[in-house]
Amino acid sequence: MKELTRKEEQVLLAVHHLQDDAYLITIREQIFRYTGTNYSVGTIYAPLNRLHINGYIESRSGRNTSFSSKKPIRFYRLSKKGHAALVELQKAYRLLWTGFVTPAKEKT
Amino acid sequence: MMKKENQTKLPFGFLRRLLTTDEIDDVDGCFEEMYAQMVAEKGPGYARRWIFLQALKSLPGFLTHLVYWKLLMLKNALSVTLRSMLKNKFNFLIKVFGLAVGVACSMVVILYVVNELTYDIYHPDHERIYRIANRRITEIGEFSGAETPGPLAVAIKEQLSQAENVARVIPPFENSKHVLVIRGENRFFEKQVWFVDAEIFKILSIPFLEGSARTALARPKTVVISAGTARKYFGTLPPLGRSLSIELDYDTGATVTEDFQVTGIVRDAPANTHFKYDMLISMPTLLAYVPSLDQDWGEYHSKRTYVKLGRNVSPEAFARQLRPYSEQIASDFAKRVGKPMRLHEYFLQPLDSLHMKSNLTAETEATGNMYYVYIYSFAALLILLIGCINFVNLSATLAAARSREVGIRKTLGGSRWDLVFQFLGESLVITFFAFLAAFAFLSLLLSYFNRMAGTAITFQALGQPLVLVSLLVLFLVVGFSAGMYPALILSSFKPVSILKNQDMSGKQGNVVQRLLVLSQFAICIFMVVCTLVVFRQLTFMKGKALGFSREQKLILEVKSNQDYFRHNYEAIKSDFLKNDGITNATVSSSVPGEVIEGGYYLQKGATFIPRDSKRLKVLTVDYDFIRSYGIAMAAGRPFQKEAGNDEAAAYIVNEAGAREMGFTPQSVLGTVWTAHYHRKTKSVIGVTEDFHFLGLKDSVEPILLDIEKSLLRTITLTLDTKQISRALAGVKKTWAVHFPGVPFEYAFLDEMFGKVYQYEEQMGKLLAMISGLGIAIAFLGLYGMVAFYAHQRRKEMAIRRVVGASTATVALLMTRRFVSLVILAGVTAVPLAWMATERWLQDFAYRIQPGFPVFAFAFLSAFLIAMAAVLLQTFRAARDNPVDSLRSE
Repeated sequence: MKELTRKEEQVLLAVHHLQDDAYLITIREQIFRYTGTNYSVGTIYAPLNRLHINGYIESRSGRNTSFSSKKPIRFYRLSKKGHAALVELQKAYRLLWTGFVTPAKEKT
Repeated sequence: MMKKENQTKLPFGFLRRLLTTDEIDDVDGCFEEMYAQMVAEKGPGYARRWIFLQALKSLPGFLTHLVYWKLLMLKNALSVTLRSMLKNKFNFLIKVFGLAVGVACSMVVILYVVNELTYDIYHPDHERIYRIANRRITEIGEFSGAETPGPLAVAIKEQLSQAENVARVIPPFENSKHVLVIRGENRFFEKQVWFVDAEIFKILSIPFLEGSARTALARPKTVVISAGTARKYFGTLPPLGRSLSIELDYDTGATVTEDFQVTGIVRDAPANTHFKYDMLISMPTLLAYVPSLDQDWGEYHSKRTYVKLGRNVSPEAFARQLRPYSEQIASDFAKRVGKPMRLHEYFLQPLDSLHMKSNLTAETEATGNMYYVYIYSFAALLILLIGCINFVNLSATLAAARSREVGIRKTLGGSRWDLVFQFLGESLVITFFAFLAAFAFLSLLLSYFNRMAGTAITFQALGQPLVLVSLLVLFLVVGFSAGMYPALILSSFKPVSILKNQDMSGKQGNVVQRLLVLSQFAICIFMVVCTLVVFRQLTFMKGKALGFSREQKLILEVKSNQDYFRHNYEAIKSDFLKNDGITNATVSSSVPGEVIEGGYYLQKGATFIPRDSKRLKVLTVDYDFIRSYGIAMAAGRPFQKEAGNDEAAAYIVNEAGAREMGFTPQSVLGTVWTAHYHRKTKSVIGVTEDFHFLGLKDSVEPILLDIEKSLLRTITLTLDTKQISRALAGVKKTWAVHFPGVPFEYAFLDEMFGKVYQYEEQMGKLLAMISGLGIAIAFLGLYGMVAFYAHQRRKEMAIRRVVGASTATVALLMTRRFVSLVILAGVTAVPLAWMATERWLQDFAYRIQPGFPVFAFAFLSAFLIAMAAVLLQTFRAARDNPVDSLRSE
């Protein structure tokens, strides 16, 4: 399996968290909420598109229901491959993080 | 709120245009949501700036993307074009050939039309330059001439300040068309010799190469010559200051040969000016011999006056100022003749209209004819049309073979317009090849056309901006009109049906193609009919008895020493007759085929009064003329020496002349008439049958035959067929005895007379060439098209033959639909051709009735040629061994 970049990881996780409401804007917000980094839309779109091309996420066309104009929007969801990748990642990280103790007052 | 939405419409729309279709689906809604969020968080101004920035940021990417892919597609399209050309070489060659011929013909016509229509516009300020002409109505008749009395120019110069410059241009009177110029051994007759006021150089653009326009023509006996003339007489010597001996007739009773000093060299006259010059002689020269030139208001003959008006002077206003001079002339005339002049007026003709629009008496050269401009343009258009139709048809035929390409392109995302542009581009590439080939054809065509139409258009004329622009327009029009239909057809294919292998020839396409083939053959039939009618009319005119004999007649024109000739013609004649092989000699003022200039007036009775006079053309002759030309008498007798004083007392007229005088051929005999031109009174002793002096284009003119010295100009010798070369040698010797130093020039009447139908012959030849080329192109086009169909249907044919059809049946099956096309073409073309030829024939006094055979022949030839094209192909296809066609899949 190809290794995912850091950003791809974050996007993939965000998509997982958001479940059925994952699209460009919400993904960006989600990442902001968890990591505090305010990425631009373009910075999010690139890994998102890459994940999509490589089959980690599936997409469907939808409408932006929360917004009055009902413009077309692409929603994303984890594919099986994406899910498997996350599982594997978690396994790997768990091993990698073994024995690491969070020092007091520190946050990533 | 509305306003804000409007403000954001632009960047949103812009973004949408920049993004590909997929991306729009992805992000369009997102952009809007982000925008809304941003408005809420950071205010609308920030949000607007942001969205603009986003649009701007995506621009470079968009552009590289666009250029990269367009270039890639262009390269691809070009290689596909070349590949398809190479694959269908025959098809490609026919297309290029057809277009090239059409384009070459159009180029020639463009050059011709530009040449005709740009006459005299190269003179600076040409819109202010006019020629003064006059119109006068007297008891005798109405005249409109490009002539003015000599003093008019003087009066304008002295009294009318609105004219910036004024100058006269006057030909040598008696021998204007053949001025003998001598320098040592170089002796030539010059045609374009003029007396001019020096001010002409301020009016017309006649640039000096040597000498100065201001001083060159100030003194008598000075001459300015063109560069070409200078080379002719002086070779490499510097001509300035040297002298030329020029023989001129000042109408003072004798010709004068004097030395003239060359004081200037000017550039040769261009082809597109109505005023062509080789030698310009100073006006003081003429004034020295004809001092009345500046005073005599009653004498018009061939004196042209050019005037350049000041800025903001309207020609109408200026013409009004000329009225007092007109009135003066009218009252002078009334005093002299005893009858008032009904009308006398001057009018101004714009310089640039002189070639195409003016047709007065005393023009400086034959004027252009819009009629031929139209006919030639139309002919070129027709042949271009045939070429384009070929292109369209062959491309549309090929469409079936290229349907897969279209299918793939569309499946891979090519839009319809992408395809249209690709195929249009392809047709432009082919048109480009056709233009290259056309330039090669052009050099051939141009010399042929120049010889036919009597023009002097050169290859260099292509460099004129007007011509270049027309060529570019022609290129685009041909490229687009020929490429549009195939491009639309090809791009309309549906990928699904193509890839499912459905038949792509398409019913609708076939209808258009058949219509095109139909019109192609209709044009061919039309042109063949026109050609045939022109030629039949020519044969008719040439073959019909003219009322005089023109075989073996040698014509010698006396251009120099005319006085000597007129007083000694009897002796000269008998000297010529002493040579072997000459059976007859006669002298006359004109010979058949020449226009008899002017008309002369005859008054019944013993005195001449302008009133009630009859206008007849005068032919002065000797006793032998009627016998020598074999003209038959309708009544009375011919001139006879034995009768005693025919020279002093006898006229002969033709039948038309008798009618003009108001008599029958019988009753006119014995009537007494006085002629205006010599004021002699003679009686009519004979009437000849009508003879067609000028051919059959016009009806017979009333002609008066008169034994009179004053107008004699030509010698006609009848030769014995068996010893022509010996006779010629003798004639040359006798000529040298009587006209020493005058170049010996002769012509045969047959050839001279041929020029009467010159324009018709030109048109006939041109039409023959055009229809020949047209048929060739149409034949090739049909051949190529049928070749393709035969190939497409070879399996069907093979199966039919396997099942038992004969070769003939199969061939017939393919031929059938083309037969009906050609028949329909005939039905369309024949009435049109009939109308066109009828219109043309109306201009002839004696004409043929183009009957059934002409139309039948034209139709049959088109039919046979179409059949040949079809059958050649279908028989081949039908004869092939079915196994070969069916084996491969």
